[in-house]
Amino acid sequence: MAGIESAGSASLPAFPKGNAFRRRARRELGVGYLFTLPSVLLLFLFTLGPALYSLYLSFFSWSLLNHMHFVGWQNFVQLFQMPLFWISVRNSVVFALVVVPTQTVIALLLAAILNQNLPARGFFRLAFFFPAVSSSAVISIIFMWIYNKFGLLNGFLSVFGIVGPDWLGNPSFALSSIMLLNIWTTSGYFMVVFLAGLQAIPAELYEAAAIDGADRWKSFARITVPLLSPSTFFIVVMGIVGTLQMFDQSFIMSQGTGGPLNSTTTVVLLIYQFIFSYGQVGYGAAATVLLFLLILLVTLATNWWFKRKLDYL
Amino acid sequence: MKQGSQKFMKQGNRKWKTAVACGACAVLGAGLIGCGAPQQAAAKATHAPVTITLGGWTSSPVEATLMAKELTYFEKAYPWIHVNYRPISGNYEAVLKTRFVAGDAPDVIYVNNGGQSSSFMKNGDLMPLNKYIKASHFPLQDFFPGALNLFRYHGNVYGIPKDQSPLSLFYNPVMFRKAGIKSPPATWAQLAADARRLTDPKVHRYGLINSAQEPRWAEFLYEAGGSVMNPAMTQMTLNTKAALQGFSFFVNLYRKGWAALPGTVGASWGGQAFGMQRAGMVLSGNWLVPFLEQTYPKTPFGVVPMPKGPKNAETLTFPVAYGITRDSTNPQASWDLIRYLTSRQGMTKWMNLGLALPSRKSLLALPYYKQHPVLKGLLTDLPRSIPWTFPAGFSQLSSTTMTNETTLAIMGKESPAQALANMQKDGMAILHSGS
Repeated sequence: MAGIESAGSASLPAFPKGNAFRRRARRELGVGYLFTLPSVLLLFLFTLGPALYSLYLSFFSWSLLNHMHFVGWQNFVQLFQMPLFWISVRNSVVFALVVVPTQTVIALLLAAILNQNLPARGFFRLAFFFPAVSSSAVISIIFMWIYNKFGLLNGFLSVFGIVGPDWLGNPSFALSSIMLLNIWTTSGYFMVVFLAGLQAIPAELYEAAAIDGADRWKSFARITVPLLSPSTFFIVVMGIVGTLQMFDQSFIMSQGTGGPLNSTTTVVLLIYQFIFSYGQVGYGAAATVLLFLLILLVTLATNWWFKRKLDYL
Repeated sequence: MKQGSQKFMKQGNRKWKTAVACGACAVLGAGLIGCGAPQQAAAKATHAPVTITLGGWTSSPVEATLMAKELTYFEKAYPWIHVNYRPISGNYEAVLKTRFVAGDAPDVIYVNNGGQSSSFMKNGDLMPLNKYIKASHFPLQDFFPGALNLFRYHGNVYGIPKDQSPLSLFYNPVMFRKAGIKSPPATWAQLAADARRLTDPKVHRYGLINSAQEPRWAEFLYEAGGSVMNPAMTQMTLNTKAALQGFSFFVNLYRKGWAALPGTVGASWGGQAFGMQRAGMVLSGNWLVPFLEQTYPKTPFGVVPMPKGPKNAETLTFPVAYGITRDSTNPQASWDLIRYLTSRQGMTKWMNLGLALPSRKSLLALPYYKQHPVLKGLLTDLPRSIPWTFPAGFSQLSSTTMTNETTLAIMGKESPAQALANMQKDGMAILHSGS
């Protein structure tokens, strides 16, 4: 699924009345459309088209292989009565609620630390950013070994005399294990976003605060954090969208099952299973529409909340 | 992931390899096909060159190479047919479905046991082979009827079984000797007693390690005189006393600590746990043999038939077939390939690689099996095994629900009776919905 696309709508400049002007305006309009045509086509073909098609499919019963037939709201009704759907919603929401704040705070702290003149700063920036540029699939497989009953994590814990569980095989730990992995992979990326934001804060503000007697913690809390709001807004929104759409790590680490006992079944994994494994395209499409609405509402709410805070800048 | 294949990805992905390699071997023998020879000669003169594609699963480049090599032999025997071999890696049946939707499925495909193949047949995604079988006088009597029936729907044949493997009991003779057990178990009581003696949680060793998926416990139901569904697959039959007896026996091995799930010892499937020498026994198919030889050559193993239950001595088998897709533009050439790969001689060559067991009855007597006595247990189980499949619409039940219910029973969060009742209810709901 694509992220949020913001398309700026440009209205035509108001031309004075007159045939020559109108012709020119019309010609420019045509040229403008011509230039945007490739992007518009791609957008319709690969983003809006499939999105609208999934809306259409959510009202049909189809197994991919048989003839589809219209069932009205039936897919939604069935979905609302399905415990598995609510389990997946709960998993995705819990995942987002834990991962988004944690990764945001960690990214902020890392950025604040690495924005100072530390030795080997470049190395640490690279090291923290590295997970973001590596393949999610490869990292998931490496973490499957770390989380193995006899893996690295339990080996480390055994030093302290702790007998660790089979992290991914135990329904109580599987989702938390994936959260940990996800936080690790995304914090580094968001750290870079925060770093960019930090560069934009004028040094004079800190100097002035120092003269006024603010200590480092105070200038962090009163200057850095508020002035980073635009970056924070971006990171929180991207984090929410990303976590609610989490699929790959669950898919790989549970070997496509969302197990053990559905503990790692996220909404998108369930959508995949409905469509490609269980032959219930309608349920999958209906769940897609509901997930879209959920993400839309949460993003609008975040937007509204940050807007208020951003206003005072 | 679809059910049949998914099971094997986790439980015995070697089976996939096996199946791939299988086709390859059959090709070797192709030149020997007697009945096809005269037609070939005539066809050579009249046939325009055609190209067909063969799709299947593969989990190792070795099998893919082998298969590609075998196809060159076929092309020598049928010079006007060129075969593009396009194995699908990973999620085989899911990818295949998208190819069906796009209308560009390969001409010849592997048809797996399990829920998707039932859907493929029901939805007309595969071509009925009846007229080709008839026209080329291809005899079907030699195939195991059960294996063949798996690929029959409403009187039509949709696939010719290429190979199969039953589930038998693999055991570690050294572990048995050290535990003071003289011979591998032949009955349920001995299985439980041996599992108990082999178990030592302190060194992470268990008597039996198998996953909770239904092809690892359904055989216990049949041995107790029960079943999962009736033979016509119109009813769930998990609500019988016999079914409960078989299921409880399986679950109780875990409840008592004598059996364990693969993750308990850091393995992803039972065969791997056995290779790691964490399990004294594992229920597995022929695919475990090449896996052990390649990956865990130091693990000693023997194979005996599935231990006898209170009523029957039965087990499950997993046949795979070749089929022609409805999109094929060259069904005749596709049929020539299938006929070549599944002929008696073709299959003989294939079986001599030892990667799978035959779907032809006559091949049980191959000299290869005399030279490889370790396969005796599997060969004994083969004729009495139940080809495993589900009707269309059962993907979710067999791939997820059944595993979850069994896991809950193993964890003690549900009684075996409750778990069976839930599966029964879900299965009946699917049957009533007519999907």
